Amino acid sequence: MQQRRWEKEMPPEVQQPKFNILFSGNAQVDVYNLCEYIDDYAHRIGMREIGISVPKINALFGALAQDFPYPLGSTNASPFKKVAAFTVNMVVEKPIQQPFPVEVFGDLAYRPNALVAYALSVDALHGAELERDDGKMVLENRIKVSAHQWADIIMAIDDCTPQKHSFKMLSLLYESLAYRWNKDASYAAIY
Amino acid sequence: MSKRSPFKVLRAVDPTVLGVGAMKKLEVSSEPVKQDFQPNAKGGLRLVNSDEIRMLARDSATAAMNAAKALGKGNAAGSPTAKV
Repeated sequence: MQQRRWEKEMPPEVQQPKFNILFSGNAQVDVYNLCEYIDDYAHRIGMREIGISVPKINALFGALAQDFPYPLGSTNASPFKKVAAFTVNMVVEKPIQQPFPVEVFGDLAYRPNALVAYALSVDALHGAELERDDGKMVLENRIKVSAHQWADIIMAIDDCTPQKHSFKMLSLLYESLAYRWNKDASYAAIY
Repeated sequence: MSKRSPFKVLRAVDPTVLGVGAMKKLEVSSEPVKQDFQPNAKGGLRLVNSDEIRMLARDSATAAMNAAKALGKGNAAGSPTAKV
C-alpha cells in the first residue's frame, strides 16, 4: 500500500498495520477506535474521568451500519458523506454523558459530542481517498478553520437532527472545507 | 477470561432517569483484531493504526483548547491560568 507523505516522516515504531479510522468494515473496531479517541481527547484536556454510554456507542454504529442515510450505502458513499453520517449520529445518540471542563471550553463544554465528532471527522478526512471520474485523489491537506468558525461549526453540529437534511448539509460543509485546503480535489467550477 | 481496561480516563455510565449513573471502569476481554482493510468502493477515510488514533486525538484536543482560548472561552491546559 502506498504511503502518504506524512506517514514517511513517522518513526518506525508507529508504522503498524493500518485500517480506516471509521467505517473500517468491522463495527467492533469502529466502537473501539471511537473509545480510544475519546479517551485520549478527554485525558489531554485534563479530565480524570469521562463517562460514556456503551449502549449509545453501539447504537451509533448500529445505526450507521443499518440505516446509513444514503441510498447506495456507506461503502459507496464519499468520505464526506461518511463523516457527516457519523457526526449526525454522534450528536443524536450523545454517547459522551458529561460535559467537558467549562474552564477550558466555556459554553462549548456542554457540547462534548459535537466537539469530538468534528475533531474525529476532520482527522478522518485528512488522508481520505476520493473516487473521481478521472481516478483516485487523496486529501493531503488537513482542514483548518478560524477559532470563530470552529465555534460556530460546533454549535451548528450540536443542533443537528436525525433528519436527512442535517446529514446532507453537513456533508456539503465538510466537502467545502476539504476543497478549500485541497483545491485540486474538486472538479472544475462551472456555475 | 481475564479482563483489563486499556483506557486512561474512559468510564462506562448507565444513564438513569435521574441523570448520569455511577461510573464503572470500562473493561474489555480482548482488543478487536484490526486488519488492513479498505472495503470502500468510493474512497475510504484516513488509514491509521492504534497509536496514531490516540496521537490524533491528543493533537485535536490541543488545537481545540487553543481555539477556545483564542475566543476567550477558556484557558488552554498547560497555561499558567489553566484550571483543569
